[in-house]
Amino acid sequence: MTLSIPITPLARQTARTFAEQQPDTEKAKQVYLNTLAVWIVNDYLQMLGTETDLKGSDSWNPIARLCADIADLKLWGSNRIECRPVLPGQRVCTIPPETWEDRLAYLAVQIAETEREGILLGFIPEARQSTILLHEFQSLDQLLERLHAIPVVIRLSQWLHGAFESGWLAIEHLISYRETPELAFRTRQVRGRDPEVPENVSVLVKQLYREHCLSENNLDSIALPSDPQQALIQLLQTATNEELRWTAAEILWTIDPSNPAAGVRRMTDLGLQLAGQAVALMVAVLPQRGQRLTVLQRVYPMGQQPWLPPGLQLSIFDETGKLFRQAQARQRDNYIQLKISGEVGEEFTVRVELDGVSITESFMI
Amino acid sequence: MGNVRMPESEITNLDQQLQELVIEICRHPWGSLARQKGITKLIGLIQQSHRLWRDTHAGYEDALQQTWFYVCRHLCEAATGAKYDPEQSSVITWMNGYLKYRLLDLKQQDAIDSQKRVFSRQTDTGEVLDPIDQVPAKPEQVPILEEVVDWVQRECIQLRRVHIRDRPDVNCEVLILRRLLPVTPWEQLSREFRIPVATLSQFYRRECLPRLVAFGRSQGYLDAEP
Repeated sequence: MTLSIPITPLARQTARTFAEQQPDTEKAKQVYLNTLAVWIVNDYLQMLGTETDLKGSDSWNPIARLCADIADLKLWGSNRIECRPVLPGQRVCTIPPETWEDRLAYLAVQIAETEREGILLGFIPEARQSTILLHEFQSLDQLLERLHAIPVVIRLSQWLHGAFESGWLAIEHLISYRETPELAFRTRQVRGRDPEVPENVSVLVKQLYREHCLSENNLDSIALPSDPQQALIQLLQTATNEELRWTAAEILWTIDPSNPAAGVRRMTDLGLQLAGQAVALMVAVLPQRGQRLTVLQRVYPMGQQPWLPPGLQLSIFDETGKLFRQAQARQRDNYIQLKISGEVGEEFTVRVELDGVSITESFMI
Repeated sequence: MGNVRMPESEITNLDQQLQELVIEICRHPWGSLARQKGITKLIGLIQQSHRLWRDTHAGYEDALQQTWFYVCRHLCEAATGAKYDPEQSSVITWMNGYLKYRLLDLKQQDAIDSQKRVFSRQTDTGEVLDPIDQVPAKPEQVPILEEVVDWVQRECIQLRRVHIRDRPDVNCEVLILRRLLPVTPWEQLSREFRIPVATLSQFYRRECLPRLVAFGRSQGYLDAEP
């Protein structure tokens, strides 16, 4: 089965802009078609929830696309796929030698004469010759299998640059206030208070500053900015106590979610894989001094259930596979969490386990 | 009457098949392989059914693509809007409903725009014309080619040092310039240098392109948000 993806006016306009930067007509046509092919594949993968990084692709770099016949689409990490345009009636797909490496797959995308739709014809996993017959291309199902077969090490330092692995979504994508208001309410609680309420925020901020003064042994001289947002940012930048910084970040997630001072957090739905219990793993990252990051791992119940299943375990293992930290849900826990910190490049794994069934994710700081 | 009933029952069969597929899709988490395969199959079946709402509006593809995104994201979960309710309608009816609303938005926007100005590239039916052959190259506007040539000249000493093993004559400077305008085909370079295409292109990818990409970034040559 082939799929048709609509080519939007914006896609054509972008392709035209890129083409207009080229020195001659032939090159302009090549860039035009390459851009459309990449755009179409990007749309398809985004429809399925696969993370892509269009702007990090070489095809989106003006110098690279001038100097090479390139139609790559960057996915997560250093993974790329090549999206080759094919015109109607063509029986072969052209794969330029400069793209023979560093690609997980080569997709053939037929651009309709009307330029109103692109048809995903299929893919091949490798290319070592310039032309390949289209009937040798494999199905999209096989492409998806290939993309899912890549062992994913989640690179948290990249999160701070906006690069996220497939399946790790912004919290709003998984917890909708409209659909599950109770769950949304529970997940934003900080020390039993809801930061949606401004009075709660000022109470929390005052508490944090008292504790900050105590922990820095600096009883009166730390001024509290009157704007709670500023106060939290100052705390995040100056406090050395990690617990305080995390609490400040948590409040900021509600009152100013896009503020970079609060680090990054993403969530993955673990589905019903654990004995039919719906849970999600949230991971948040805050920069520390130098090359260090501090990482919060938290497991939430999903859907309508208010508590985690008792006995659910969250464990962190170090690079050698040795158990580093562990937490276990009791009766009526609305989440469990663990925190660790480390240097960029350090690896660890996280396991969520219930009744002998477990899900493991690998991370690199 | 029999020939009227036939297509109806076919429609029902397809709707039944799609309904079952939706249930299967929603058993798997968003982003999982099974969910992605299911959605791909669903899109294919809907496209094959020829029951999608059509329209000649120039922005139809835009509306349709918004609709596909909406359908994929709201089949099993509420995200930006309400989740699909199989009790209320078949998937195709639900999808067409959303599509018609997006088209209505576009037509309302047209009415506002038409009071402002008329686009020169549009025909009187509102269709935007841009056949591939009419894509113009306007090198005078963005002299990227010149920038690259200047950069190669400035960096020539460095670029000459990076070459294919034992072949100082096949270096980054030479290959970048030969692959710029006019583009020398790989096969011709291969014959000329007596080096296989795969070796030449591998060297180009590993050594030349990253330097060009980095130069592009340093020049602030990054494309604005599409």
